[in-house]
Amino acid sequence: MESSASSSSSVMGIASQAETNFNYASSQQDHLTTMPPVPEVVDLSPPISSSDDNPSPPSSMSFHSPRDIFVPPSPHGCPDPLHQSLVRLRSPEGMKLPIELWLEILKYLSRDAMSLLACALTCRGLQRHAEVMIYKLRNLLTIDVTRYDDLNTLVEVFRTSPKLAREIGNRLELRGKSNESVPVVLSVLPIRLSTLLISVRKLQFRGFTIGSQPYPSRWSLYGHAFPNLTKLQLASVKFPSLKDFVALVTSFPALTTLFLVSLELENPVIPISIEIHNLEKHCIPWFLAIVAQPAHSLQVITIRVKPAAEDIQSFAWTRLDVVLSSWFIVNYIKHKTKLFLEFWVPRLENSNYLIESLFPLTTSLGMDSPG
Amino acid sequence: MVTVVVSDGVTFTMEQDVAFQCGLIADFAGGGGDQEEPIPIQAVNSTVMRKVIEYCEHHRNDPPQPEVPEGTPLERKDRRGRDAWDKQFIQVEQELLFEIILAANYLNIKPLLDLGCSQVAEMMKGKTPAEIQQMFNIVNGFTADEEAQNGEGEEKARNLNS
Repeated sequence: MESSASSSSSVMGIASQAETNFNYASSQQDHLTTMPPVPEVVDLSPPISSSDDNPSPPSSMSFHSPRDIFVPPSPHGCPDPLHQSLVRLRSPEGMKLPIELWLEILKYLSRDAMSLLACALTCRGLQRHAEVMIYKLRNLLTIDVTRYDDLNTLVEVFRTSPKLAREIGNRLELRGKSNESVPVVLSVLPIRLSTLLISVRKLQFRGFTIGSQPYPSRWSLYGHAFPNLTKLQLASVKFPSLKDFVALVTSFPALTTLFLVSLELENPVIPISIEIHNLEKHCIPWFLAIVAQPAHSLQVITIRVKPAAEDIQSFAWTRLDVVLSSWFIVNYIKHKTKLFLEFWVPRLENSNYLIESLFPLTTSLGMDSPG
Repeated sequence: MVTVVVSDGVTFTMEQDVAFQCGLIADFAGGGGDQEEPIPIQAVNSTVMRKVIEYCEHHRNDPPQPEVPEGTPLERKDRRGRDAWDKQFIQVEQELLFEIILAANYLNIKPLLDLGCSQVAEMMKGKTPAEIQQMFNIVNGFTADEEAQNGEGEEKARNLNS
């Protein structure tokens, strides 16, 4: 409610200000002296519809636009450096701005991977520049899984630029909207990206609900699409079942590190709960489900827990100590998989208490401190 | 006072602090004194010049923009510098928007150039390639071979999916 109120007041603010400015601008007309021979303002700029015939900027502008440079065709498609540099300076056909201004515009998209990918496919003139910017962005490649168009764009760019796909490498984030089921993109994604993103090392799933589709058998395709993935982060994701969760995680042959935060299961209902009281009950099944698999490659699993302040004070840490100890001894020794519980402390004043509480716990378990 | 005459013969008279926000006019005027002769601005027409003056009038009392460190993402700079008035000001038709950008570039008004470029970028965000092409009337310029290659890729993808 607060947000909508402030937003509406802001809109009102803009409207009233615009009105004021309009009047102010009108009053300024008094200061604008029109020369006697000119009865009214005549706009000499060319209409947009003529841009196909004459793609140069408005005729009144005397730019030495690089688009005016004659670029001879490169014989046999030879990648002559001079030719390449001239081609690079050409403004895309039909564009009403010179290329240097389009490059300025692209800078405002420098963190928006999907928009850059779309620009790369828009026209030859922008392709090279957009791709260079994507190279710089390769650690932040985010796909909105609620937009099928984004996936199409990504696939199309990577098919035309396999080198870009190979270099894209370190991290891919699949981001959705909480509580929104996104089965289509998720089931299609590993097929369409197959062999295009083999260099991806880190993958994030963030903020969506995986519906009853895809079936667990589909998850194995992710292992084929991302054979070199070593780090997987699942945040705010709702799985249909523990079987899906296990199938996804164990499909990656090189996976060594798993990070979990705010996961949920639809059936049975098992959240990685925010409440620390449920930690013992709900965290362990996720972990055990993975480490119980005979051929998993995981070395580290981190589960983030966000305890409420009052829970920290009242929680029976020793009880957790005992439970985790027994579970830990069995599973750590057997599977060599480390578990980190990462506690997020809501208020600073509680941090000392939390550290004191956790210290004996981590020590007795023989775990590294989560930091 | 500074007087300029634009491409369609209209003359504009403005105060120095307004006019000198345009780097080009400041250079013409030599940095001081009233100009008797109108300064010719042949690359801008009167419609666009009115918008430019409106912008300069509004920002006449703005403090000098602090230097942005090299490498600062433009999105961040944009969020910091763009106020509600600017957003309202730049909500214009595409043709006029492009002319404002060209004029800001020609007249050397960096904040207005930034505002115009960020507005175009905003229009492009979240759009598909086809939508961008349609919006800006862009011809993609890819060769027939490249188009065919894209088509083959799409066909393979469809076969894989089916």
